[in-house]
Amino acid sequence: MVDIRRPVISLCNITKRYGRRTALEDVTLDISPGITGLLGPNGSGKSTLIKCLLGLLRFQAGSASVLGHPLPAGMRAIRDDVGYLPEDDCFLAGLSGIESVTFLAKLAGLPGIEALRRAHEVLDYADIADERYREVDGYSTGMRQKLKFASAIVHDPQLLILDEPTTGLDPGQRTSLLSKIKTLAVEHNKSIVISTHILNDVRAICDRVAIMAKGKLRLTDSLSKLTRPVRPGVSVRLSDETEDATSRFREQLDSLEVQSDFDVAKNEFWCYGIDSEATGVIWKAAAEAGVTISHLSESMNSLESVFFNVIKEAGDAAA
Amino acid sequence: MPLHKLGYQSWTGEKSSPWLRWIAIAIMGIRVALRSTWLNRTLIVSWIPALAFGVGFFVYEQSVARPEMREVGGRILILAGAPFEFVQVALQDPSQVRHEVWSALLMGFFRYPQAVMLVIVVAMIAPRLISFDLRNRGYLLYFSKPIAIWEYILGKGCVVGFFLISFTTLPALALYCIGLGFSSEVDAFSNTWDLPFRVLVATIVLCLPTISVALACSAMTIESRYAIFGWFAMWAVGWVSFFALSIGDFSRTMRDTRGTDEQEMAAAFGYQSKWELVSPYHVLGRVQQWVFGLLPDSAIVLPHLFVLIVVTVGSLLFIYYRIRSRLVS
Repeated sequence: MVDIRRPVISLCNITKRYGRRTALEDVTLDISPGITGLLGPNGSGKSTLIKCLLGLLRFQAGSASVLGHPLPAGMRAIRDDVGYLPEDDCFLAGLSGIESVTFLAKLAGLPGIEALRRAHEVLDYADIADERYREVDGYSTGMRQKLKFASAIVHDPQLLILDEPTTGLDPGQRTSLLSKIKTLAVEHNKSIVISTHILNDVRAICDRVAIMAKGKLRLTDSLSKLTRPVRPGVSVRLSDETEDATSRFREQLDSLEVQSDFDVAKNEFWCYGIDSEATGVIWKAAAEAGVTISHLSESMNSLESVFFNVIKEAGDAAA
Repeated sequence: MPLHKLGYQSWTGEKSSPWLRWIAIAIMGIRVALRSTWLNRTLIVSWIPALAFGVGFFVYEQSVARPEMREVGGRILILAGAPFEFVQVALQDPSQVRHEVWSALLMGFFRYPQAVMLVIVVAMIAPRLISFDLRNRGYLLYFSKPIAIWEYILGKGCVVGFFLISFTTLPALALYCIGLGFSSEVDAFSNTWDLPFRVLVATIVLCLPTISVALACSAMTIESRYAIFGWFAMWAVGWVSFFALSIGDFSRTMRDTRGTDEQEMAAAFGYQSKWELVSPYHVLGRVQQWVFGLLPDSAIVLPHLFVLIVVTVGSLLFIYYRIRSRLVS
């Protein structure tokens, strides 16, 4: 059982260099139980960080622990308790799906018959049960992705590190896999780290986000805090998008002393100082202006804007 | 689709020893290799020479009991590569040289038919063991589990070792047992008790360098056909170089030998090529000769042993760094 007070991953001033190139620089990060999204553009150091966490790479400076096991001394114990889904398209040639997962279960220490039983169980869970007796060499990219997911969870790890888990999946399979990941976290107390470029995936299931750029950790916070607007308010869209309707609605908002901005590109009003439960004044303004509201929601910072701001700042700092 | 989909289930159970996980790699490798029909056929064929050498043991034991069989026994010893002087002694009193004859037969079994089978069988198994993992990035799946690189190499090496033992050590031990069965003398075992151990040492001498070199060929490339080519090329180039260099050297030696016909004959029979070290086959053969106690001077084998150790260690280091470099990239 994971101790919710203790971080599952703790990194302190991790630095990793490949020759003269610095891949990770002074990365300090505590990842608590739950689902954490690891975001960053290509070459930002995400994969290097994951390989360091698994003990596949040794860092030059700093200290780290995963599930309480120090790195690199506890590498074997870490891999015993961690399930890893690699980003690359990888498989064991010449084996069927069931043989592949059974074999990896045995490598993780499950005894023979248990490994086979467990492999069947996780293949069912990963929705690849019908193809289990086919050779992996003939699997499609999506099927291989599901097989990698099954291989990652076959030994019932406490922590899952998933590198681009939804790559190659169609929209239905993607939603299904994300819901399975969420189930593992919520119902089975698994801690999960997802490295991905797909911000929608992060928005759908992550509790926390860590953004990396140019080998440094740039931002880490809970998803709800990151997407909270700087000034609370609601966004309003009218059914009638004519200039006349827009100006009448704005006049009414002004007369009711509601601070607002109009985003011409989105054809959307931003009304500040109002939360989603006190929107009566907006409806009143619309009624008096004789317009109909088609959309009203609490205004949020988009994850995209947060992400791109962080990347831009990292670029500016490097320049 | 399962009839009763249970969803995700937690697993609680006793895990196997963390230091024995390489066995799973070995067993899976053996199972996959045995799916090849051609490999199975080749393994069956590889036991046929054991029958021929079994006849050798039979004839020798018969020549001990029946003097009229001694000439046949002598011919078999010559075929097995025994020195001429030794055959002469064997023809006079075969029971005095049982240990040497059995050693020569077992060494001949290792050195001639099984060495050829080794080149063929290893080419059918080893080249794809690592190259396929490099090509399909299977190493990421291996090393996401608690497996170290040395365990991976050990597991893969055991796959090749299993097949090598199956057509060298096992038939050699079977031949030894057949020899004991054919012998009519009660002291046959006390004369030859050390031979099974020599067979095991000869197996180690054979297995360690060949497995390491075969796996190094496999680790060198992501295309197993290039690994197969590299493996055959190594043996072929060694052979051809040895013979080309030895023939030149032999011609020079004979040209420089001035004397009677007997002296020239003795020089020809006593010629020892100094180019054995260029051929893996001859290096292995010379060390096996030493293991079976058929070398008059042990000092001769030291350079050969050194070459085998260097090749083995070098190959293992190459495999290690090749896999490590893929993980780092």
